[in-house]
Order: sequence, then structure tokens, then C-alpha cells
Amino acid sequence: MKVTTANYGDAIVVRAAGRIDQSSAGEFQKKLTDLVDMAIGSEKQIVVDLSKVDYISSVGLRALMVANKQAKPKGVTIRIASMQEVVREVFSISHFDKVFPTFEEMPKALQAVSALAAAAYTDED
Amino acid sequence: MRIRFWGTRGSIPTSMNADHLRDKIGAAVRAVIEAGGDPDAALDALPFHMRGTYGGESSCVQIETDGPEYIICDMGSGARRLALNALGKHGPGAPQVYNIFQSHVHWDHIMGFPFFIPAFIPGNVIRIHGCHDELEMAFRRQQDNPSFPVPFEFLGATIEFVKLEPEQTYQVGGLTVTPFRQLHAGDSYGYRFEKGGKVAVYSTDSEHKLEDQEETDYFVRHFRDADAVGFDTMYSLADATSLKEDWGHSSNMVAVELCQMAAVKTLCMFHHEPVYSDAQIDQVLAETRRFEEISRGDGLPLHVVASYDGLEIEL
Repeated sequence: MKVTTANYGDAIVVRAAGRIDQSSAGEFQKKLTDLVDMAIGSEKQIVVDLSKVDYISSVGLRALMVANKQAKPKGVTIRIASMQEVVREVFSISHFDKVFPTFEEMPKALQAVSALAAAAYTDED
Repeated sequence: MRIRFWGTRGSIPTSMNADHLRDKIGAAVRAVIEAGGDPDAALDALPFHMRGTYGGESSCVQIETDGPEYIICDMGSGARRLALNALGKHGPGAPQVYNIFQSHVHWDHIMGFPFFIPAFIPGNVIRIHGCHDELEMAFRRQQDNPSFPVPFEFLGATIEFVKLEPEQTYQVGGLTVTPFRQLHAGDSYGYRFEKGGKVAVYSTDSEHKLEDQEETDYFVRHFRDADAVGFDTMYSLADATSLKEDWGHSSNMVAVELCQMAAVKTLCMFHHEPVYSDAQIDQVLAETRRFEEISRGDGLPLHVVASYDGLEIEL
């Protein structure tokens, strides 16, 4: 699994790739919680781009939940974007789609953050 | 070896009210009329939540072997029907040995004992096994005034309490039994039962934190190659890791993952959320089976069933 980040206006985008399971969830969680700290300090929001993630297990979902518990009380929303069909099914079965705002495409997720974030994404992509 | 589920509901017994039952009958009648043909065949073809019910008794599971002694997990409200069945089978004049294994002593897991008729009958032997120091106290206390009118001393059977140690192996009623510790308020214990190459595991009221590999390996070791595992699937994963974290229960997804890792043959979803209707449990079962397909990888298929009061599984 690989994790990269990018900034678009007041949005921090986290791009994961590969499988998020027992072997990679620890690294994913550490990256997420570090970024939540950064988002809290800079008054930014987080969008997790899962378009390159083939599968996410319960341990991977837990990493998202741990980050969400850290973020939500501080006013940071974690949004999920561009899930593959299998990952979308796992979100539905786990009811994580009731906890996290989910978006079919990145532009819509960034629009939900702010016009500034959406514009920055359009300019770059 | 055969597993008989007498109580499968979590936390508190439930029942349908008149409106629920009318809705169920109405839906079934309409579907049978619409199907036409043989009404019995049409009824049998309906989804389980339309033609049956998961029931509402709290935890009680029997493990039957060809041996003469009873093996029972937990004394939830389902124990009442188990007792009636035993008396119907043997009659009150034929003393039996009942070996009971307690996951823990929370109320929904002991509330059937005051109505467990064999306890009233001299000649019966009832051995209540468990790992908790409070085992005997909990059973005696619920029969004390003002909770119940029949004090423990009035019970006619010979009743013994047997303290077990987790991770130790015991021979009871012709089975090899190994208790193992689980995460729950005040602790709970699962049990691995083995006989003649068959393995059944009872693992309820157990939260899985998913925090480290060691915790996962511990349960995989106790579930390893089991023919059937009864597993606490009370909550969704989202609830189990957020609103209901530290409530001591687990999810369908963790159940599937642990059973797959342990090469279990059949997962029996157990300790159903009491607010769930039959249709909701059917929905959770369908989602759990789909998750099993998604997460299977190169492993063998895991058979998934939702246990219900009255279900029997032959291993």
C-alpha cells in the first residue's frame, strides 16, 4: 500500500493505493492521524481518495474511525471520495457510509470542502 | 456432534407484538396467494423472515453428542425450552447430568436458570462450569429475595459449581473443553469443544479491538479448523468501533475475517441485536455472505448462517 498527499486550497487530499489490511493498516493510520493533526493546526479539511484502493478490511476501516474520532471534535471533517465498487460495498456492509460523507468523484468532495479547494483542484488537474 | 440453538438474542429477550405478527402473517399470505400453486411449497419458498422468526430468547446453546450427559452453553432465557424438551424426552423420573458452561454471569446469560425445571428435581446433577470467581454468587443472588420467590437452597437437584482456568483443557461429558478469555465488561470466556475430530466453538459477548496482531492470533488459534463457530455479531463494524465501542460486542465483518483466517467451516451469527426485526437480521445475513465472498481471496468458502431459536446444525 502507498499513501501520498496533496494540498488543494484548504483541503488536504490523502491518496492511498493497494490493499488496506492487517499488513498496511498501521502505516495508513499513522499517516492519517499525522494529517489530522496538521489539518487541525492549519484549519484545513481532509479528503481521502480511495480510487486506487482495491480492498479495505476491518482493520483498515478502524484506522479511518480512529482518525475521525481525533478530527471531528476539532471541526475537521474526513470525506471519502472515488471508491471502487468493492470498497463501496465494504463501506455499505460496515455502515461506514453512515459515518463518513462519501462522494463518487474528487471534484464533488472538494466542492463540499470549499470553492477554493475545488478551484485549486480544477486548475491543477 | 450436533449444535442446538435454544436462545440466540443478545442482551434481553424480545418478542413480537400483535401488530408485528399481523404484518408478518399479512405479508406471507399475500405472497403465497400471488405465487399460486401449492400453498405449502409457496410458503417454504418465502424468505426466512416472512415464513419464520429468529426468535427472542437470550443465550442458550446445547451441544449434543452420543454421550449421556448434557452440554449447555449459558443459561439465558432459552434454557427454559431446553429444559422442557429434556423433560419431555426423559420424563421427570430419569435423573440426568447437565454440564453448563457460562461465558459470563451477566443477567441475560443466567436468567433462564430459575425456570430450568431439572434444577428442582432430586436426582439430577447440575454442574455449572465457569472461569469467574463470582459464578456461584451470581446464580444464588438472582434467586434471593426480593428478586425471586424460590431460594437456591430449595432446589432439589445436586448443584455443583466448577471453577475453570482459561487456556487449560478439561474432559467433561465425553468432550475436550478449552476455555479462553475474551474482552467484555468483567471478562467473558469462549469455549472450544472437541470430540471425535469435530470442533465447535462458542464465542459470545466478545469485543475485538483490532489493535494488534497478537489479539488476532489468539482468537485464530482457538477457532482453528473448527467445524462451527458461534460468534457475537451484534453490531455493525461502524457501531462497534464508534458509538458502541467498549460495549463488549463485535460485528459480522470481524466474525468473517477471524473465521476465514482460522479456516472455520461454518460461522453461526449469534447474539442478535434485540432491536433488529427478522427482516433486518435477514439483511445482515445477506450482507455478511456478500462480505465473505469479497474477502475470501484464495481461501475455502466459509458457510455463514444466522442462528435462530430452534436451529440445529449437524457437524
